[in-house]
Amino acid sequence: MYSSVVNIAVALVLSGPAQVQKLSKVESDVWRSVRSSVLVLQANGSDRGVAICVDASGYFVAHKNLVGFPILFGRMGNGQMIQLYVHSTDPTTELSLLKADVGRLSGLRPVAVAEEPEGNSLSTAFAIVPGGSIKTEISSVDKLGIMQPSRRAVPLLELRFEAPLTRVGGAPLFTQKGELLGFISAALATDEDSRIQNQQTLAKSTVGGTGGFGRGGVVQVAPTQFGPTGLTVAYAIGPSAMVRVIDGYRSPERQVVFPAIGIVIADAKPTGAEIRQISEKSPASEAGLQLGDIIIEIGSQRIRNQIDYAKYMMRRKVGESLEVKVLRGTETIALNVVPRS
Amino acid sequence: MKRRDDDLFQLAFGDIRGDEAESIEATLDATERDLVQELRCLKLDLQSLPVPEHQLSTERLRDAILNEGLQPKPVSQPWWRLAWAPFAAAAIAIVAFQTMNIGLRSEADRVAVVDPVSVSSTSSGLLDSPGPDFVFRPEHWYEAGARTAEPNFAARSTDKRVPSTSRAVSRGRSSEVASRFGGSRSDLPVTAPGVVSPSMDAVPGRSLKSGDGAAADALPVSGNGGVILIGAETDSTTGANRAIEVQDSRDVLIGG
Repeated sequence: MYSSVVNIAVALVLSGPAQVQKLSKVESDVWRSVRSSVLVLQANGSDRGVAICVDASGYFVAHKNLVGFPILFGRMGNGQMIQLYVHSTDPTTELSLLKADVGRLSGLRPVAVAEEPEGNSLSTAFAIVPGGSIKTEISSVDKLGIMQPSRRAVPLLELRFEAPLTRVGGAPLFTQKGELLGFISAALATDEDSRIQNQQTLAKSTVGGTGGFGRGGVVQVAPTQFGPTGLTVAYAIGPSAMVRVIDGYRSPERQVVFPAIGIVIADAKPTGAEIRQISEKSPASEAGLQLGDIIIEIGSQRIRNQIDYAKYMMRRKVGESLEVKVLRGTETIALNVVPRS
Repeated sequence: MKRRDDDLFQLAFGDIRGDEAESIEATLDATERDLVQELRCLKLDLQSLPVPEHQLSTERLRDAILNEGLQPKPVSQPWWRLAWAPFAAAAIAIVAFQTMNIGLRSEADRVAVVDPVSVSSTSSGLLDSPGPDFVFRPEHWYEAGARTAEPNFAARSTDKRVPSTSRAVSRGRSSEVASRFGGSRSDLPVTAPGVVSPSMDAVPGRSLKSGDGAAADALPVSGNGGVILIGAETDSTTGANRAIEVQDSRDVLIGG
């Protein structure tokens, strides 16, 4: 019995933070293959996360959460330290462009963006953190995220990590071939209080308690224990958005553009998306759209709700003229709108 | 062999001391010495883990179990000592009900002022964004935020019988989101009685399903119409922004 207790204790120790440091062969291979494309960010004497190289002339991209320091350094694969400053931040994806304070750097390889993963197949990806890479499973490729405070919609990949103690927030995500899939921007809340409340809420809604949630189980509970270690469910901005970000930051303007017409919409009944807010001097107001209009069609695409609208706009380009059909009272009106960024 | 292993474990963990420890130590070969050294390092590591002490030896475990089992039992009370309880409970319920009604109305008014939808912004972008003091609360994504901006909201909110419009907010969804984040009903901007639609659940959902129109085929669609709401707050464990998944997205506001 004494031995069993000690064995359990050994397992506890081995399943702790040490696993992040000890990479498997495939994780080591991925880390080596991307090392020349990444920069380990340092501030106040400690590692903060990882940035990726988008342009060999000294431009890098990192998540906004990792770069909020007055003085920020980056450590290259060859050990060279460079000072960085934040050039700009895209409000939709919260990815920042960093510029090195030196000229052209040698030994840097700009990243290539991966193609969008197939819809129904689970695949493996690797989150890059200062200590190396961490293997993760892509559990869904078709999630839609709404970012706060911009309320903009972005395509997300859902990831599952068996590494609950790892700070994966802001980590770039790569395929096994070393192509960029996205950036981890969010995780389901994992703190104990939230978990307990979630379980109580779900229990009420599923056993006919007094919760009265109607549809029941509306909000997903973060799974916390499926095996010997805990589980972290995270969301990464997907490749289709990453292409826009990388292309935008590589452009001469160094600017990311997501098309928008300047409205806030909600679901409308029986169908369509109702305009709840219009920004002044936006394409929507210039085109004559009004509060309360219900968008039912854009560019021959039927719009059944605000999700349809968001997904349609994600695939459009800035400057492209779109015919929008709206219901205003009993009238159907067609207007032309040109999205801007 | 088993006995030898136990001796080594006990030696490493300090359960054998004095002469006995010395005699065992004198007979250790190189492999056993390495094992004992490794176990001693492990002991140091274990001390940094939140493992209760009584799990580290059978004696302490036994003591812990016995101590738990020998707690004094509560003394039973005569029935008439509790006779006041139903009356007290009824009185508390009445007071709580009245307080909640008042609190919810005032809360709805307050949220109408701070909700990002109703706040005009100085943002240079196309979409107005809330000010820097805005705190992530999932209900801010919901339709109620927009509804509070309507001038007749307060008047309609007092009508408890009929929903004011067909897009009234479901009580169920709002309650659930609030409870997930530890908020009470009084935290919600959507709980004003007039905007609660008991019949909302009977309305057929328009979730996005494959084969349901051209849009579903052309666009990447979440199978059940759910969306991930990503907040501005950072989770201390992962360093990522906090997210929640809402399976029913009908009340979610989207900018674009």
